[in-house]
Amino acid sequence: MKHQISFNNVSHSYGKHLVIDQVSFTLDAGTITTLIGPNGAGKTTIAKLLLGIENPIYGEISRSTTRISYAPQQISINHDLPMTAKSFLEYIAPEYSTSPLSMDVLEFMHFHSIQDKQINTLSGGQRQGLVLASAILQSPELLVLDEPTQALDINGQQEFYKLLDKIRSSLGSTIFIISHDLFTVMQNSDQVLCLNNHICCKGTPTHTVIKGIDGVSFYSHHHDHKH
Amino acid sequence: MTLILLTIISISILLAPMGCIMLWHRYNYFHDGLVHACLFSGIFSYFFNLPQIFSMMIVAIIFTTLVFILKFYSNKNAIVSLISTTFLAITMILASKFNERTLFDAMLFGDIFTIEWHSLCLVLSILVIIWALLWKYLDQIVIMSIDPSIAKIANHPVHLIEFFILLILALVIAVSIKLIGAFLIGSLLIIPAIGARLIAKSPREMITWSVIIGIIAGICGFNLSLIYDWPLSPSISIMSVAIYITLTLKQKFYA
Repeated sequence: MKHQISFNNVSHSYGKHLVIDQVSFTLDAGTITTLIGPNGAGKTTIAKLLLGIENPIYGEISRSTTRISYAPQQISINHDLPMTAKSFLEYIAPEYSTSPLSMDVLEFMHFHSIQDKQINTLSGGQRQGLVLASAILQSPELLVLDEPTQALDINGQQEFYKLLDKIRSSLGSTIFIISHDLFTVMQNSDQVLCLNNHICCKGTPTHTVIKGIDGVSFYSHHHDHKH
Repeated sequence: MTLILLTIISISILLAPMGCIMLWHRYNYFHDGLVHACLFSGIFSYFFNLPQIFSMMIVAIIFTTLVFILKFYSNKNAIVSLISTTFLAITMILASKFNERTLFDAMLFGDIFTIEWHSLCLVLSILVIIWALLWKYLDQIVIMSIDPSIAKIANHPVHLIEFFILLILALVIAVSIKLIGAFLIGSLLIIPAIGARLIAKSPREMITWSVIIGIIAGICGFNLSLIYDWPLSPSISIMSVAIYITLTLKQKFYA
């Protein structure tokens, strides 16, 4: 399978604080990879490096894709910026109506009931649905999702998982998810990466999560690494 | 009188969109900071024998550059306050050694009553440039206001655009201080924008409404000043505030 992104011995720090240390992994085209790890493990830093927002201090990141979209965990909406849900989509994904997934995505976010509402009046779940929709409707080659189901209710989460499958089959996108939700990891991922400043384990969901939950490799690796 | 009115209307159209962008980018105290920093231009003019408009532009460029560089290390509004306090302190120390109060008085109330046609032409030229830039870059500016990381991923030159926004804002404020005075800047920059926010549903609508509010405040304030022989700047400020209060009440009781 073709590698779309590869991290080779990537390290990154903020000041003197080393956030990630010699991280290596590849993302194959058309696969779903989930990154898990405790708070402060460096997950957001990996996302920033992946997106090209920051450059690593050491190591190499190679990308064979330019069409990247990103759905942050939450957007802090400036109350001084008037914007309806519809105009939000028009700004972030101007060609949203031509996307092959347009109907599915608009239905997922209940677009018709929220399109004329101001974003700052939407609920947390509606706002997260809107942010996810805007990222998907850019028809990206690489889709990066940070905690995509955190604010969604049970129905919303189920619809989102169905949508993930459609994104992969219709667009062939490579999907990278940061998540604490083990259901996402088990049901929807091809590859799981466990991060705790370095990659503790990686592989198929069953193999990796059981190993992670076991607590032996995931946390003891970090402990060994620090000492 | 016609010249004064035309200048006030032109500056209203110039400042209103800049006020919106200032709010969107959370630079709520930028104009206050710059107004204080521009007092330094009086000292600059005194020492280098420069026309005050040029001194103000130089101070505006220095102020903007410092804000832009230092905002990476701390909260942007705190940095604005830090730099303006520094400029103000230096100005007061130097001003205590020289008796140049006339420069500062001119800055507070501007030269609107001695304005000439070439000054109006300068304002109109800046107006055309600013609106042309807005026309071209408004979408990028709005996306940056929504989320800078999304704008960066979409390959918008986020830092460059932000620097130019601040620079243009600073130069527009500097020119406006010279003409209408520091006192009136807030009334035509921020108050129309926050009034427009109450009724607008999109960024473009907000700009349109803020221009309309600015023009109405300018014209009504000008007439108020003529009819009741009130000072011009406070009359326009009172009208801006009155429009804002009316819109707030409308929003509260009729929305």
